[in-house]
Amino acid sequence: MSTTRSRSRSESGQAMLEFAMVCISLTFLFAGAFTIGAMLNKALQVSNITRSAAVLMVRSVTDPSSNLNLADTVNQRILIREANGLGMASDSSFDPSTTGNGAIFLSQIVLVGPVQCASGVTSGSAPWSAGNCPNYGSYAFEYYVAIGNTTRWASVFGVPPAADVNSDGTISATHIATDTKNVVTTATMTSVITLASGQYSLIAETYADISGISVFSVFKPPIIYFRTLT
Amino acid sequence: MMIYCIMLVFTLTMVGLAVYAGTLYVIKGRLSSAVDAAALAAGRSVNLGATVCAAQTAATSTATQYFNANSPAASWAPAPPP
Repeated sequence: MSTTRSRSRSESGQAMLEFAMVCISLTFLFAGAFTIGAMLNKALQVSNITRSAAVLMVRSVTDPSSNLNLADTVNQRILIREANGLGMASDSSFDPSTTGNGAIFLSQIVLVGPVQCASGVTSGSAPWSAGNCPNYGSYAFEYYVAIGNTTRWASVFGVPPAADVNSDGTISATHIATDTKNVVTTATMTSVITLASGQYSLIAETYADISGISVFSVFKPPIIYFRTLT
Repeated sequence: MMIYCIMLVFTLTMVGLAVYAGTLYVIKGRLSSAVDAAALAAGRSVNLGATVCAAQTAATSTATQYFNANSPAASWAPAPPP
């Protein structure tokens, strides 16, 4: 009788020990699955923000009558509100935070051609070349707006000189055609898309640091980067 | 221990499926984003053609170009920043 009871206790203890051992591995497994799931969710959110940013930029740049100035904090709230939970807001009004966990870059890049040279060069005429129109044949910024923590991140395509960018994000025809600092490296641009002469592309980029969702420090999620060209 | 081992197989399968489903959702979102961007770009290029046929060709060409730029063939993720 006592031998049976003793064996029963021993088996019970062994089962608990086994359960405890399995629990350790299961805890890490579920924590990892949770982290990956949350990370995918945030990746989807960043993708949606970037898409919205591209749509707003199309509206702002191609339809001046819309009066949608994305350099204006009030309009930037549209995007920051969509980034709810990513730590990009500085207050409850969804104003962008310059020290937050994300940044959005809106750029319009053009391959400078005869049209840009004709409107940006005052002392010169066709035929255009790099001699009379310094940025001819180069990719140049036409529009640039940076939102959020721009000290931590920068656009992959570079940053135009601050003096060239107007308060509404636009860049003057003169700077587009003649300021050699207002150019995008051709290799960087062509690795993404190759434009025809005079053609422009609108690019929205979003960075988000989502390390806050990590359950354990060993599951450190990466910084999410997403971009949309249109 | 045998029961836990058997359960672990099912658990790992389910967790794997959950992660896979999540990845599919992200791919769906990115694909949707690429199609949206291509449509917007095509809309901008419609006025480049002097005739309906030329406009259609320009729109199709631009849509393809921008779809490919937004969803690289090698990967569903855009190229990481250098």
